Amino acid sequence: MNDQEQPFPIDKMLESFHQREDHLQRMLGTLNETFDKKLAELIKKHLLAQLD
Amino acid sequence: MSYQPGETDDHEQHEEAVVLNEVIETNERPLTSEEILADVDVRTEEFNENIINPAKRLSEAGITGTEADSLASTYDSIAGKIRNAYNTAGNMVRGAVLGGAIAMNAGPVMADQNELTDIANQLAAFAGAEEVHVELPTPPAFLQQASPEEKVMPQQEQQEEREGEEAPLRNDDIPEELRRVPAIPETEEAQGDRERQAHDDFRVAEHAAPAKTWEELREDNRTEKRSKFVMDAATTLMGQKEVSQFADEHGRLIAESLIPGAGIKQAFSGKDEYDEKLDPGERILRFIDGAVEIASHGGWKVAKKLIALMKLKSTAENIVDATKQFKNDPSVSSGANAISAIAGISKGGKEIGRVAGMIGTIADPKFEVLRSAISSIATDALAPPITTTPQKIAGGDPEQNN
Repeated sequence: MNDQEQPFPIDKMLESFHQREDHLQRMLGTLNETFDKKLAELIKKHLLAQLD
Repeated sequence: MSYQPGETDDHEQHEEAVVLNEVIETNERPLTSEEILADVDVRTEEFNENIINPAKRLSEAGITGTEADSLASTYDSIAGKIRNAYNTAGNMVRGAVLGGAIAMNAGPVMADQNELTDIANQLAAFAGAEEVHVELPTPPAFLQQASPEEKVMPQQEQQEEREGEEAPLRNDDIPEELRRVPAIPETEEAQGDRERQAHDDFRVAEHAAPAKTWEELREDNRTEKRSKFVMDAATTLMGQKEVSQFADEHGRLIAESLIPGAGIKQAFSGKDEYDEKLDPGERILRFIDGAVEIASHGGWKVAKKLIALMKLKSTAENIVDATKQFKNDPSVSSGANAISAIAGISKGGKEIGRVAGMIGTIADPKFEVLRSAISSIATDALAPPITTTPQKIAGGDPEQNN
């Protein structure tokens, strides 16, 4: 691998990469939170069914 | 983004993480290629760690049945798309680092708003519209991309169809430094080689073609002059005989790498297409196809290893050894999964990743013009950068989503 400075405006690409990274991390966070909520609902439903 | 030295048990990785962390924080110099690749690797690993195993979680909670399966399936589907989107972005950076001149062409793929919109819509449907407020990032103007439909539509028609909307980005709007295929910086040793060659060789000073604009390069592709263009570029520096040798030698390397001992005919995607009577420009293009085949067979790790080896010794033996080694490595994914590691999920990403990887293998700076020519081929997979109106996903409102 070449240890010289990058031969093209890689900083522009990295900036865009980091921007997308932040965005996707937020999406994943929302997805995980939603999953947790739905899992909690299923657990609750499961427990209630057992009580019946 | 920072690296926690205590997070790795490996002493060497620990030292690298400390150094890289300092460089990023202090911004004291541009990152090297190795550092950028390491940074992307660490980020990717950390990102993937946040993707849960829904089936396992459900199982641990003792929840089974249709609803549980549906929940796990939906999570996996959306998470998979998010992961793919992340990998696409990361692989574009990797491809850019390895491919150098390809950087400006890889950008549009990374900023695919349509892909993000699709994920956001699915996420909104999963979570319930009122619970999700996702605002899509607006990429830099020069990174914005056309939709697949726009890719095949002549620019004038696009403009007419989009009348009243935001105007398409024109080539003139792209910064000058991005409109030119950038040169790959030479090492001192390579510079010496080139200068010596220039002294006792031919045509370099008088006949070297000026750098072409992106628009010109794309035009060359469109008019199906790829072979001639590569040939012209190569002969500018190497001459007819040398180009022929180049095509044959590298074709042979590819053949040996794909199927050791099988012969040069297999150099070209295993097809019986090799013909010594073909012009060398065409043979070089087929050599590229063979390299793509290697990538699809062996995956990213093999391609990376090949790049390193070709820079070191460029011997068929080493390449064969490396290929054997990685073909036997169960940790290396294969087939479509492997190529996705270098290429990302979109068609454009694949093409860019493949060609960028190939460009990296042609490491000798004396092939600089040839490399630029090859990089232009990658533009086949991409459309002119047309702006798209940034879309917001707010509260799942269909009007806003669409």
